[in-house]
Amino acid sequence: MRALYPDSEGFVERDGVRVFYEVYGDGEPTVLLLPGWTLPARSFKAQVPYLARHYRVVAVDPRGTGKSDKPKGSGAYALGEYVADTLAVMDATDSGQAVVMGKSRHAQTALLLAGDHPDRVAALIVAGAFIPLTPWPPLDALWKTADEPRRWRRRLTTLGSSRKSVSELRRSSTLRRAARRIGPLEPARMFARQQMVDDYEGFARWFVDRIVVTDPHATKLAEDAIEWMLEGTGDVAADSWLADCLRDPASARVAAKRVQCPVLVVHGDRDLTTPVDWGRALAEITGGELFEVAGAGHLPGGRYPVVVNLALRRFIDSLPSDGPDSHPRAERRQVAVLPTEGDR
Amino acid sequence: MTEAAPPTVARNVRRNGGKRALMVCSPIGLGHALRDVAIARALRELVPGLEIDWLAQHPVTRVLEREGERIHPASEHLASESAHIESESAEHDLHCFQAYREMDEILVANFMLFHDVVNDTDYDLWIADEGWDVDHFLHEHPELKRANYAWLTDFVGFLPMPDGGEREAFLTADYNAEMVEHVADHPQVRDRAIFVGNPEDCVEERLGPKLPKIRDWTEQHYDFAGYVTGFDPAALGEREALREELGYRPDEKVCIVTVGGTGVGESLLRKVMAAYPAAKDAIPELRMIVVAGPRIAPESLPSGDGLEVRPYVHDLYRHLAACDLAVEQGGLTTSMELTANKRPFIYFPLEHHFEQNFHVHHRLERYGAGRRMEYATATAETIAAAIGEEIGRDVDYRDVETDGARKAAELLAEMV
Repeated sequence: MRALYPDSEGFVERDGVRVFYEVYGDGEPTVLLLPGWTLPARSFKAQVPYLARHYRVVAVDPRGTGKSDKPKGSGAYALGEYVADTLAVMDATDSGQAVVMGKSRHAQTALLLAGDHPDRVAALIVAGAFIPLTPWPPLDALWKTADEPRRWRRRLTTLGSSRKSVSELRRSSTLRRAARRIGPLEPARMFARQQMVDDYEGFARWFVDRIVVTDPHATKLAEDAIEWMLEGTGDVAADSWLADCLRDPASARVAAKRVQCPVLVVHGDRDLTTPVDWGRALAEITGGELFEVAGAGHLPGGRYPVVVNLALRRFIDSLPSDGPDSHPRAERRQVAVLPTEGDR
Repeated sequence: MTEAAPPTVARNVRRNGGKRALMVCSPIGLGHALRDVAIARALRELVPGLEIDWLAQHPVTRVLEREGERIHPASEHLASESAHIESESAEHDLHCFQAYREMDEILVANFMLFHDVVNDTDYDLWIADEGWDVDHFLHEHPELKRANYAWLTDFVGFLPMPDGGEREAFLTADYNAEMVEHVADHPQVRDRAIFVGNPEDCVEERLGPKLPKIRDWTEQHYDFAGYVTGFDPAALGEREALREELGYRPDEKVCIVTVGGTGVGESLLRKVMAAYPAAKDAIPELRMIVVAGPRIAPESLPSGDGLEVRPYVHDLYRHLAACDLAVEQGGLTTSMELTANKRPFIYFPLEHHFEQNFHVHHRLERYGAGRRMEYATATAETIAAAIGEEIGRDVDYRDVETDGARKAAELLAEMV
């Protein structure tokens, strides 16, 4: 049984794709939750009851997950589509402005939303943000060899050969820990498009057990994550993995610099999926608060929900009550607005 | 372990100079409510002026309201553990370890509520009787502890059911290992850990491969209050007088069928009721009283000549003391009430319920009490036959101590 059931739920439809959302509570402000890659809104189950007791919560199953439609093709999962879906959910739920929280891959969605639609985002919260602000050659190589995984190692060598990235990598404790858990060729094999399509359950189990839920005593969290991933399909996983998003430090930096609202960055300091360096860099660039969860892996809100919930509440309660315009940083910075699909 | 001075002090004293405690009482079954009311009474005798607030939910609140205890208004926001447990149960089957795992989000939600409550009000002492959320998350985050804290339980260690295979054995050991690590790494969290029972009540098993034996570890980390019955058998008076007061005639043979406080037991009630006609044929003086409990609608059950269905019965222990036989699940509270009153009883442990199958069963064996039957294989005929053999039988159970509530209260009073 759930700890709390939604007060209302519904779908928004854009270009024939239906996106599911749930609404809980009736407090202020509205907190909009975007889960991680391949995960539905249920993955916020440890946050929703607490947040809904104090605020209003809108939780989204991003397209391709949970009860939402699962369109075909990478184009359907481009970052801009997710941003437009989110705006459509905000419109449908009368959420003029919200505190937007994005986990992992959908930290990118939340980041773009905050940068492009500052009037809609009172504050930005990210957790385990998949926003590659420092070079991460293994990831670049994975994307480039998704259809030819055997070339991954050579790609990795090529990409990692710049002096800067080699020195960054040598300093990375994340990479050293990852190397102890994962065989050198496993990522390329598992992240290959065909592997995800042919054996999605095998991929989900490997991904969650080896990379995402690395914390001790987290068997239930891992089981949940695998079950939630399996509500989707291998095709969706491959399409969305290879879809357009922020892939390199330069574009990530541009997007991060556009954010004007207050920012909270939550990151486990033993995260193997997204290096904690990315969270640190994001906090620095945005002038945001950094909450490093000691000992936590990629899902700190799942493994250590109590301290994460308390950090969320402390941050949200510290926000000015009359919107982002009263935030001092907003006065100093130019606010850039780029129209996206779904923008009003 | 319990000699160490608590490192934390409540932030301020109450306006009237009195002390205040917060009691968190598990709603899974009614047993914790009954024993905690007894402990609270004894504690107030030892600490005059002590105010006790209860953070509790149905069906515990039903007991508390009758007893005039003060229920914290935030209690209405607790996510329902009882409803969850019922939703996890099948026909006389409750995999309580898996149900506990599936309850993770409810435990988080309820701990957050607890945290808000103790943030708003200063308490001198927090007491959690199998308040799993409180104990787990305080060990995860000891910095959140701001008052003296006491933990009570009547069993230690998750145990795998045999048909759970290697996976379940691994999982139970992993949960137990986390508990062992928590207590080793943060001994300051539990100022008192009170085992409701005696060292011999601990099963012989280990907590898991390479983990300590349950009895050894429990003896190292707990104080033992003995069993807390929640009543004094001597105060019940003569059984004949009690029977008369409760309306049971001397020439009747009274069989009480009860499944405690959750709605899990309805299928057992129905199965035992199906044995009534055959039992009545064999024992013409039989009177069967079925107690539906607070979470089963009594009108949903059949009744007839000599077969009565009652909703919740207050002071059920008095009826159990007066009866000639009881039939029940293998829950600890009812089993021990019957043991303390030296009444014959038949118990059917819920399938896949490790606590009833191992921990409670072990304790009842030690007391020499009760006749175990298996729900899956029992038929109307075998149940009727067992009723015939057991009803009115003289028993020679080991005595159950009557000072458990007082002992537990003494251990708690030192911290207020």
